[in-house]
Amino acid sequence: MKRVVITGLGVTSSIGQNINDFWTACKDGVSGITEIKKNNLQVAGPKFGGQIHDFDPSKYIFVNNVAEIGRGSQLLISSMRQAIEDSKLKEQQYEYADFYIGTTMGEVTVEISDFNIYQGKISSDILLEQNQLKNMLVYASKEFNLKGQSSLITNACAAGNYANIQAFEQIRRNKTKVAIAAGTDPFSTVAYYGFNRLKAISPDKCRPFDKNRKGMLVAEGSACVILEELEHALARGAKIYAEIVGYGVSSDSFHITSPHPESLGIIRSTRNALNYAKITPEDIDYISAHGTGTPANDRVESHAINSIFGNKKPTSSIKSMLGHTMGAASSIESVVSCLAIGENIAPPTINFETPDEECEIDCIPNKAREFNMDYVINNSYAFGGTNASVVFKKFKK
Amino acid sequence: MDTKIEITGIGCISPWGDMPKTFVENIKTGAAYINLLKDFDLKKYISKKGLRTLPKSTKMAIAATKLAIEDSGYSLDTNWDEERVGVFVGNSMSYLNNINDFLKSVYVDGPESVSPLKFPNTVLNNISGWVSIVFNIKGINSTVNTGNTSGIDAIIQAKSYIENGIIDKAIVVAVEDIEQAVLHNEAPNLKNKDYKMTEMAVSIILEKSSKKHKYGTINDTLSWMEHTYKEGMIDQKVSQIIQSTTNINNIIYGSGNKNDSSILNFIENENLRIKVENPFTYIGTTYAVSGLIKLLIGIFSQGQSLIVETNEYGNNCCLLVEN
Repeated sequence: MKRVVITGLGVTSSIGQNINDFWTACKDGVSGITEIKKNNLQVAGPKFGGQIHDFDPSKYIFVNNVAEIGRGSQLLISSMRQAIEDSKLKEQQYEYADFYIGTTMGEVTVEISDFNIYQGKISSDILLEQNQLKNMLVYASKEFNLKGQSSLITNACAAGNYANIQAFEQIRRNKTKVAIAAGTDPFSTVAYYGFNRLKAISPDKCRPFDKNRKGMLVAEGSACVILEELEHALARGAKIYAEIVGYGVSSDSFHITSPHPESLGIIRSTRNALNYAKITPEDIDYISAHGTGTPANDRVESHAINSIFGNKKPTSSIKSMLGHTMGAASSIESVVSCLAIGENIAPPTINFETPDEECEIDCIPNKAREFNMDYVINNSYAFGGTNASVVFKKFKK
Repeated sequence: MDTKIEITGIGCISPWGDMPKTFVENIKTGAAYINLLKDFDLKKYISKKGLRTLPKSTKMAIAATKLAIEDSGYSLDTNWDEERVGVFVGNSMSYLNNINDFLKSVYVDGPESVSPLKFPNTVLNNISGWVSIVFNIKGINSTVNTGNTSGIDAIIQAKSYIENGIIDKAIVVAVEDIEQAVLHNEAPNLKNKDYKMTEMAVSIILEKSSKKHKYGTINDTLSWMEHTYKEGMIDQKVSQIIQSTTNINNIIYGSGNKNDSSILNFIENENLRIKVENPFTYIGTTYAVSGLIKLLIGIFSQGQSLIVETNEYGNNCCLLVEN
C-alpha cells in the first residue's frame, strides 16, 4: 500500500481568503461572524453568520464564465486554485487526478431560495439547469481540465472528510498518484431557516463547549487539500505538510438530526480511525473537534472525547471563529490539522467564558497553544448520523 | 482488475411492479411517456412508526431496501453484523421536491411557522440517513450526487469501502422521485413527444465473498470526467475495455445524449458480435436510477455485460457485471 501525503492547501473563509491570512487569523482567534447581509432572509431583527465579504471570484476563475456559476462553485474553484498553485504541480501531473468534492446544500439553496423564483418571476426551467448539483464537479473539472474519477459526496457536514477519505484510498491503493479533495458550501438560507426552526442558532456568538452556548451560526466557505503519493511528492521535491495515516467512519442509526445520546456512533468512528492508523488514544496530540456550539452536540462530543482520550487532550473548535461552514467545515478543519501539526500550534476555541461540567475537556480556550504534535485527529459528524474522522501524522521519511 | 463483488439481493419499486425480473420484462412493453409510481404506500412494505412524513423518495428507498434485504436471505432482525454493513445512495433530483416543499411553507406560513420536520428532508443525505436508521445499519451511510451516473457512482463508492476492508456488505440504493419539481421543470422537454421519464427505486445488496452466487458479480468499474464533449471519446474508452476484457456478451448503454449514437455506431462499424440494449429508448430518463436499471438488465442477460452510463456534463462510468 502507498503512503499518502498532503502537498497543497487552499482555503476561502470569512477570516481569510488565502492560507496565510486564514492561518494567522486562526491563531489570533479572529472572529469572522458578522450581521447577515441577505436581502431575502425573512427573519426579524439582526442575525449573525459567517459570510465572506469582498470575495472576488474573478481572481480565481479564468475558464468558466463567473456570472453563470453559483457561489458554491466560485468558492470551490477559489480554494482549488490556491491548493493547486500551492502544490506546484504542473497540469500534466494533476489533469488525471481523481477529485472528490463534499457539500451539504450544494448550489441549490442559493438559487432556489430566491424569493423571485418562488414568485415565478424567473422561469422555472432555468431553475433545474442552474441547480444541478453535479454542476460543481463540472465547473471544477472545466476550470482545471480535470479528467480523473470524480464524485460529489453529499454527506452533509461530514462531506469534506468523506472527500478526503475517498481521495486517500485511491492513492493508497495505487489507483492514482495525485488526488484533490475539497469541501464547499455557500451561505444557505434554507439552512438558516431550518436551523432556526430547530432552535439551533445562536443569537450572537458561537461558543463551543461553553456552559452558556446557545447554538451554531450558519456560515460559508471552501477548502481544498492536494493528496499525493509519497514517492511522487518526494521525486518532484514537493513541500509536504502532513501525512494521512488513517480514518474511521460510522453511522449512528439513531436519529436524522440528533446525535446518539451516548455518543456511540462518534466513538466508533474515532476508534475505527485510531485502529486504522494503528495508534492508541495516547498517541493523539490534538483533536480538531466538530464543536458546533449546540448544547446537545457539544455535550455528546465531549462525552466521546472523555471516554476515549480522557479530559486532558487539547481540543479546539474553529467553528467558534467561522461559524458552521457545512460541507466545507471538515475540509477547512483538515487544512487546520495540517498547519497545526506543521507549526506545533493549535488554534483556540474563542468566546469561551464559563466551563460546563457536561463538557469537561481542554478546549484550548481563547488563546492558541504551542506544543509538540505528532498526530492530529479531525472529527466530523453530520445530519443523517454519518460520522467521519481522519488521522494526520507529522511527516517523517 | 479489482476485487469481484457479488450481488446477493435486489429490491425494486417501479410503476410496473416490485420484482426485478417482472420489471425487466415489463418495461419494454409497459412504459408510457411519464411513468409515475402512483398509489405508492410504504405501509405495504414496512410497519414502523415515524416514517409517515418522510419524502416520497426516502420512502421509495426504504421500500426497495426492505425487498432487497429479504431477497438476499437476511432478515430485518439483523442476522448480520450491523457495524460491518454500509448504505450508499445515489440520487439526482429528488431533493428539489423537498426544498420546494420546505420553502413554500416558509413563504406561505412564515419562517417561524414552517414545520421543523421538513428541514432534514432538504439535506441531501436524508435518504441514506433514514435507510440506516430503519434497517439499523451502523458501518457507514453515504450519498453521492452526480446526475444520472449517481447510481453507478454509489456502487463504485460501496465497492471501494468493501475492498478496503471497512465493511463486508453494502446496500446500494438509487432512487428518483420526479412527480413534482422535476416534472414541473422539465415541462419544455415534455413538449417533445419522444421525451420519456420514469420514477423508481432500485436497491441491491453487495458482498465481498459470498458463497451465494445469486444474481451476479461486479467484476470491474471505471469512472472518469470528460468536461468537454469530443466525438469518439466514449468509443475509445469502450474499445479499450472490450480489448482488455474477455467475453463481453452485451453492452447496455443509453443516457439520452450524444454518446448514445456514438457507441452504437462504433459497435456497428467494428462489426462486434455483442448484443446491444438501450433501455433509454423505451423507459426514458430515470436520472440517478439509470445505471442500476442497466445493471438489472445485465443481471438477467446471458454472460458478461458492459454497462455504460454517461451524462452530457461529462461524468462517465462503466461497469462489468456477469451473471
